[in-house]
Amino acid sequence: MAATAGPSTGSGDVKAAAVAPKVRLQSGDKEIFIVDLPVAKMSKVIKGMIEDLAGEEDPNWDTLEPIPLSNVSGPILRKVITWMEHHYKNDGPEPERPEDDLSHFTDEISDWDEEYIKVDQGTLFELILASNYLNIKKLRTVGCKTVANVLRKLSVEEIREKYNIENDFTPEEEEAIRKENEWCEDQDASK
Amino acid sequence: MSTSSQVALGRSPFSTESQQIVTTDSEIPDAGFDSLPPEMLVKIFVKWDAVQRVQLQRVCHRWHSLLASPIQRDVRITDPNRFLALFQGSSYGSHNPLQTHLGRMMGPTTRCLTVQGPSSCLDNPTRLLHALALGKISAVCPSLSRLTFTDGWVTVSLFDRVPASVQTITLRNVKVAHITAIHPMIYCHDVNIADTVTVMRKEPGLGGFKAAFFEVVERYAPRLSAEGISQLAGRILAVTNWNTIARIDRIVKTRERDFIPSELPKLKNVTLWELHTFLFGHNAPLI
Repeated sequence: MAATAGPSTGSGDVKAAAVAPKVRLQSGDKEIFIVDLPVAKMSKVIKGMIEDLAGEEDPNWDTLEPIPLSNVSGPILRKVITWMEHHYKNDGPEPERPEDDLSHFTDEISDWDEEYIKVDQGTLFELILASNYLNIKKLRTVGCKTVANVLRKLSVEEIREKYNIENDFTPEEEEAIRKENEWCEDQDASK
Repeated sequence: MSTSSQVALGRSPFSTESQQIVTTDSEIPDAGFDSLPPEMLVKIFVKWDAVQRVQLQRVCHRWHSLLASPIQRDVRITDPNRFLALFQGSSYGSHNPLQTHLGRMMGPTTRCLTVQGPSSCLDNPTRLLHALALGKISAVCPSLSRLTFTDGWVTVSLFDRVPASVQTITLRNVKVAHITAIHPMIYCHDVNIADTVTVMRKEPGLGGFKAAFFEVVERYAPRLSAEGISQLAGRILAVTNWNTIARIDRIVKTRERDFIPSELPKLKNVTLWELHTFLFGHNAPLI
């Protein structure tokens, strides 16, 4: 299969592709990734950049400059590419979401994605940021759902501790908010 | 599956990555909530239950400002029973806490309300939701234009109480109880609507939704079990409201039986068997 010919083989490996055109992506820390063109195009941003860089019909993909993705680090980009390759192979290019698609209303995450997203907290946030920067909606949704699902089970104090968020309220302010929302805090305590 | 890419990468695509990141000099600062731009935070917050959004306003200033109003456009109630429990036992004096509390969860900017989760169709809380909360919600959210119910139950009587501003109701993976809930004693059955169904308001006024909804039910009526149809027929005997019979008639019609509503009054005192024959023909097996 063409897709197995060596996707994202990392830096240094600049084999010319006989089958599918490949593009080079450069991470913020200058690591080069070689990715099948249609896979890379799952990112709307990369797609736009490719179209800008290679205006004509059939550009010489081998001489095309690497596409700079300065906001994404190498390890994160590798992980994003893994996601894109899997979903390209299994679902095809990301389809435009139909108007009344309600998949974002559910909290379900596919088994593969659930396994994929089992990463430490920092990586998870970097993946969300990268998917946002690269405009890969489905990956961003997976990330947001994952964070939302974790947060759902936590109390205010647990969230502050887990995510290292400083409580920047004065005691008076916090008390005022607590009082204002007392009616639902009782529920929280009974959980 | 992922095997080929694992081979190509020479490693698992999963957990091993994280160790790398620790040792990599990344130009990106430690990622956390602070690193997310507000619009991304909102995307996460949007997935929460309306009650939880209020609770988590207390985390910090930034969350408070984001959770307070800008995201009230899409409001989700993921646990209707818990939501309604908040309002049970509230006193309804001149100061109505229900409305005040609703005002903290939704407001004039709210366009879409999603009610998600299992909620029994027959218990009091859901009736409360339908009867009480929806009325109040329309007062708090004058611009509410879309109602969505997912993964639970709805009753048809709900369609009588939909705020006038709502133009679209979407049902996704919900069961509809009380097909003929005009009178709760008449008939109770559920149609499992597995797919997403969108009901648009077809005509102005509150009846518009119900008419549109019955069209949807008709579409799904062939899925009714034989037992369901039999019950349906049996209950007709108890019906005194002819509008209801006309509704059932329309549902049964999708079974491609000839059924003349004007003949219905004659059936008033027939036996169940006679009705069964009338509905399903002489050769139909007794269900």
